[in-house]
Amino acid sequence: MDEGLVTVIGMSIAYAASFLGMALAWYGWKKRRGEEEK
Amino acid sequence: MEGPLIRFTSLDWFWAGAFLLLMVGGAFFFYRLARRSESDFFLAGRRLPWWLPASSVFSTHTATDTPMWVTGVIYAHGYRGLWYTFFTAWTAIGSFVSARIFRRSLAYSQAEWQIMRFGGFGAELLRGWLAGWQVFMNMFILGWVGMAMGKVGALVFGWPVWVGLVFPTLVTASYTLAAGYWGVVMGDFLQGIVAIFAILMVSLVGIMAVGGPAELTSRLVEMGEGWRMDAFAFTGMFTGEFPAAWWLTMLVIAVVGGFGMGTSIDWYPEAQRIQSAGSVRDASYGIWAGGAITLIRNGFWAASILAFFVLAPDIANVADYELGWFRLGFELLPAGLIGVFFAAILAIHLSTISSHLNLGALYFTRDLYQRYVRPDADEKTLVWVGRLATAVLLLGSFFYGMMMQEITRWLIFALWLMMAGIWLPNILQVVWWRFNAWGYLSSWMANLGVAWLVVWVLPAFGVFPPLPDYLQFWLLMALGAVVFFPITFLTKPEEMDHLVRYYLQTRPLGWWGPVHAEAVRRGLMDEEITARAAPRPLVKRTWTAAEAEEWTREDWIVIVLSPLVMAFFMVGVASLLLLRPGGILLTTLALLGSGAMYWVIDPKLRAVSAEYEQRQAKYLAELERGVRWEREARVPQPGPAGAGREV
Repeated sequence: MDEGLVTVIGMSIAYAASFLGMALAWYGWKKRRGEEEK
Repeated sequence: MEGPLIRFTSLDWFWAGAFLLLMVGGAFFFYRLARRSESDFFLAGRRLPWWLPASSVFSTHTATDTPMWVTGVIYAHGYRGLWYTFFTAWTAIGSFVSARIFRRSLAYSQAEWQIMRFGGFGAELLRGWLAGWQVFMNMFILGWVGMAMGKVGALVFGWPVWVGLVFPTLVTASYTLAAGYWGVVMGDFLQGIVAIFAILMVSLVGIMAVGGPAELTSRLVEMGEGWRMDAFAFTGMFTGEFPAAWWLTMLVIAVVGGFGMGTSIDWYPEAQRIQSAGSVRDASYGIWAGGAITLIRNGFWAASILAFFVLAPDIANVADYELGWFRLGFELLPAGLIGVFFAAILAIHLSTISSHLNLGALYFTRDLYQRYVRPDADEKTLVWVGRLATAVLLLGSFFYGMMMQEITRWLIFALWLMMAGIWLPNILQVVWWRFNAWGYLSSWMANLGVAWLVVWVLPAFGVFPPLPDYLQFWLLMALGAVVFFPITFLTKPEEMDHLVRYYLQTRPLGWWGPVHAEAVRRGLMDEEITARAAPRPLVKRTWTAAEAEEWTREDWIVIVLSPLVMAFFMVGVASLLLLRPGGILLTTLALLGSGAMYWVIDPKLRAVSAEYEQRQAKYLAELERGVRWEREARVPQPGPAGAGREV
C-alpha cells in the first residue's frame, strides 16, 4: 500500500479515538449542566 | 524462518532468571503503597526525588525496538544519523520551562492541564479529546513495542512471534496491575541499571572486536567510509540523502519544542514523571538528566554500530542490519554474559511496557471515568478502575501488535511528522495568553485534513510530487496556522478570572502581559519586577521567593546552554569512544556546561520549590474539588493591595 496513504489511515484511526473521548466529554458536560439547572 | 541465533547455557538461564526476579520482585515490593490512593497508583504520591523520574525517563524511552531503530539510522547514515535521535533534546529547554510550568499546575495529565489553562465547554472538549488520543496512543505503542519483542524472540530463540509479544508483556502487567506507578518507577530504576550495564558492555566489546578505537577508525578510512565518523557530513543544503535543511528542521522541532507541551510524543509519559517528582526542582532535574542520559546512550550505541559496520559492511537489507546491536551482544559475549544481555533486553522491554500501561490507564481513569462518568467515585474504586483499564489496554495492545503491523509502522512516522500542524499550537498554549481552547481544538481538526491533502491526496493526483519529510513539516505547520489563527481571533479570549487563577499558580513564560496586569490590579501580586529592577550581579545566587517566581536572566542562560550541552554530550561521547580529539573537547565542554548550568540555576530552583511547596496543599485540594465538578473558589476582584493573596 502507498506509504502516504498508510500514514494518514493510521492517523485517522487515532483521531477516531479522540472523537470518542470528546463525545464522552460532551455527554459529561451536558449531564452536569442538566443537574445544575435542576 | 531462520533457526535460533544462539543457544543458552545453564549459566545464561541462571543469570537471565536472577535478573528478571530482581526486576519484577523489586517492583512488586511496592504493592502496599500503590493501593492507598489514586495519587499513589498514578503518581507515587508526588514525593519522588529527581533521580527516580530521571531513571524512569531513560528506561521508558529505551524500548525493545529502540536499538533496532538507532542501529538502522547509524548503519545507513553513520554518525550524522545521530540527529534522528536528537528529538529527545526537547528536554533541554523543556526541563526548565514547560516542566516547571506543568509541575506547578499539579495536573495529573496533559488532558487535565487543558481545563486549567483553558476554561468552559471548549476546555472540556479538549480534555476528552486528549484523553481519547492518549488511551489509543498508549495502546498502540504497547502493541508496537510488544511486536518488536516478538520479533527479537523469533530471531534469537526461534519462538513464534506471539510468544515474545504476549508472555513478557504479561509479566510486566502483573506488577503494573498490582503496584501501579510505584511499581513502574521502581522497576524502571532497576531495569535502567541493567540496561546501562549491557549497553556499555556490548559497545566496548564491539569496538574491541574490531581491534580497538584506533583500528576501527583506520579501517573506516581504508574502506573510504571515513565520513561516517562525522556527525555533520551533510550532502548539501537541500540536496542529497542527508540535506542540512532536514537537520535544521529537526533542531527546531526538538529544541524550540521545549517551550511547549506535547510537541513530542515523549511529552506525555514525561508529564507523569514531572508530577511524580517531589518538587519543581526535582521535576526539572529529573527530566533533564533523563534526556541527557538517553542522548549519551545514543552516543554509545552509535560507536558500537560503526564497529558492526566494519565487521559486516555489505548488508543491504534494512531488516537485517537493524539487528546489528543484538548480533554484537549475542555473537561476541561469552557464556553467562549472554544471559545478562538477554536480561537487559527484557529490562528495556519491561520498562517501556509498564510505563505505557500505567499511563494509558491514568488517562482512562482520571480524565474519562472520574471526570465524565463517576465524579464521586472513592479512592478504592478509582484504583480498581485503574487496574481494569490496565488490563483492557493490555488486551488491546495484543490486537494491535498482531493485526496492524503495517499501519503501526507508519504511525510511528506520523507521530512526529504528521503532528506538524499542532507543533506550533502546542507552544502557543503555553506562552501566549490570547490563544484559546477553540484555536487549539481547531488546529487538531485542521491537522488531519491538511495531512490527508499534503501527504496523500495531492501527490496521488499529481498536483505536486511527494515532498521530503522536512518540507512536509513546514507546509503542514503553515496550513494549520491559516486555520487556527483566524479562529482564535474570531472567538473570545478565555475568561480573565480563569486566566488570573492559572497565571498565579503556574507563572508561565511568554506573552502574558494583560493577565499579569489584571493580577496586579486585583492586588494578587506586586507590580514591581523585583529581580530585574534592583542593581544585581551578572548571575544572581540569592533569591527571595517573589524574585524566584519571575523569569530572569538566569533562566535564559540555561535555556541557551542546555541544548548545546545535550548536543555536545551526544556527539562528544560517540567521538570520544573512537578516541577522536573532537570527542574529548566536546565531552569536556558538555561536562563544564552542565556544571555551569547547575551553578546558575540551582539557587533559583531551590527558592521556587520551597515557596511553591508551601502553597501546594491548597492547590491540590482545589484540583480534587475541580475533578468532582465542585465550584471553584472565586478569584478576588480589585481591593486593598494584598487583600486577595490567600486565594
